[in-house]
Amino acid sequence: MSLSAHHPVLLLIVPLGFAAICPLLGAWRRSLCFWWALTGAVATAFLTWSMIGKVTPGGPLTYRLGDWSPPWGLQIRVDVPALALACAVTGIMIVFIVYSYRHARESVEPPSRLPYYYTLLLLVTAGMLGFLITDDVFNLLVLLEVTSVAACGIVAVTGTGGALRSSLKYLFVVAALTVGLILATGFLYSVTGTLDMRQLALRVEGMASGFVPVAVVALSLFLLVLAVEAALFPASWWLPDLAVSGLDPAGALVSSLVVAMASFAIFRMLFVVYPPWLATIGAARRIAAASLGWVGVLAFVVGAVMMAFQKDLKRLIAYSAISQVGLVLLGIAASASRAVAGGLASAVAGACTITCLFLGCGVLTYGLGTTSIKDLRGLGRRRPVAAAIVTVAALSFAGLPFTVGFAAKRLLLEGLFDKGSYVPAAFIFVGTAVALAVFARLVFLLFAGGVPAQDDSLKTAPATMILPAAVVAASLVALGALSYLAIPAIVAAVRSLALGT
Amino acid sequence: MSHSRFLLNLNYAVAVLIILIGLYAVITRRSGVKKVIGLIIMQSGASLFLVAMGLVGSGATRVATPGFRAATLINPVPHTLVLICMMMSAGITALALSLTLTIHARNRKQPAEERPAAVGQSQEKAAEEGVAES
Repeated sequence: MSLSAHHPVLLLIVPLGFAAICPLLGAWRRSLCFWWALTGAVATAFLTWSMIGKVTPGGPLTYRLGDWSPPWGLQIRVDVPALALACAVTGIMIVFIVYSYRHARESVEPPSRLPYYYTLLLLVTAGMLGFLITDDVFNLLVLLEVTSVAACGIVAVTGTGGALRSSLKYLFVVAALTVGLILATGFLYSVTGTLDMRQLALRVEGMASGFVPVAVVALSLFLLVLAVEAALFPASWWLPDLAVSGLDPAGALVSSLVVAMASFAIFRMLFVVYPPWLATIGAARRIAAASLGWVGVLAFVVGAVMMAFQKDLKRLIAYSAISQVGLVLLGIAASASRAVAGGLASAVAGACTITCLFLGCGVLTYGLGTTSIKDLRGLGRRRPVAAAIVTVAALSFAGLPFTVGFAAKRLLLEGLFDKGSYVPAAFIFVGTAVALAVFARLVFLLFAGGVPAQDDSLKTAPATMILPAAVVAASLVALGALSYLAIPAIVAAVRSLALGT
Repeated sequence: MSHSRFLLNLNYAVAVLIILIGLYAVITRRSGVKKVIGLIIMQSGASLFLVAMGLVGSGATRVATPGFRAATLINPVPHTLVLICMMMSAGITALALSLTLTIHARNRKQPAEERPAAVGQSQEKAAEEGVAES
């Protein structure tokens, strides 16, 4: 086998290998860890992005671990939706690592913790990539666990009381949810005898009627647990504290990428394990998807309204992430392929947008010692670049033209209109209007809000913080233009999954 | 018939009961260490559920020899899953305990009035404080 045949599995092996060596390197020369992690992240990104031309909607790349065929061995499958998210994940991880160069050195105390911070960033990359491309339900839950626990460590690395408490709280939530996932997997395995996602779908289809209730219970348990993990509104109580207490990249990681992973797991459940073409549990799947969609509508609107009541900028961004989750899940739970593709595109757009908001907020409030909104009055005139980054991200979040948020939201709305789902579509407009108003007030405050309250001795953020944030902001616009190339492929991939071809 | 069916499913019922006991502890206890213990109980329940699922026939385990009938042996896959669950459980327990201890040590260093109501604070300690303050 040539090396290119092993390409899919390298996505998992390369970041894991870099992560394993990182702490050893850190024990020798602490400053090398940053460069090592950056090399690892760039290598992973190169491997992921070089797949872009090779994966087509009809022809995902597959890889059999140990050359065992699916019912016996594990299989890796890189399909278009997974690749789209994987490209975003690897790109954002590079940004996080560059952003951390000065930020982590200034905020992590004692500095002997820095090697572990970079190790965890590489581990969380490995966890997320493995999670996106695995074809096995048990691997899915193990890698979700790896991702969440590594994210927990990344938040706790600053060692402040708030960060420790919120990450411990998150750890309890994750651990309890994992037990739920194990139970659901066990239920499903007990009536099918397999853990491979595609085999599961086939065996659920050919299932004896006495076993069907068990499969339905497993589906509801999966959706319930993953919705909590995705911070879907009533179950989003753990997210804001976690997002505001860590470093800026840590906050961005938990509220954009980790949450997007859980949403993607729901997509996997609804379109690979329990695809729409199953006749045996068709009614149960429809009811589950419809209720998930309505909770998504609620989360989108409530998240946007909650944004209006926040007095702290980071907390406001955390609630915008909660709102975004609602939008993603409302798309994924819809019945039209275009709406589902719109939900997935929203997951990618949301990951980039929320990251940009967090990093822009970090640059904007650098050295200020506060993220309280009333202290930011007039700061935009003092720090125009940072304010511009936040503004671009806000426009993308609200879904204004020329941004990736617009492309994703348009696709989602088109899908909803195709099926005549006008009520959810109307709520999307309502939520968007609220979010737009909140961000308009913020931008107005930044630029026109009277005399800046800060003194002149305030130093601007270092270039290693401004540049990554600016790159993400630029990518929001660039992806908005490029999305017209990717969207047909995502729609076609979702359609073929929905029809079982 | 229904009697034997109840006995056949008893192990699953017990496993779920153990998970619920653990969940109760995680939700209701204020002390971090007790929450971790609840978590371990939950994870044990999940492991028990998986092991119980793998039982086939008399539950024989042996090395495959020529002419053996696979249908009479236990299913090895759930046992593999339990191994992985145990590793995850060990990792999570270690992380949760270290976080709890760090929070506890930090709280002890601060004077009592600045101390926030912490997850890692044991109930006894909170009670002692109440006495000291009054």
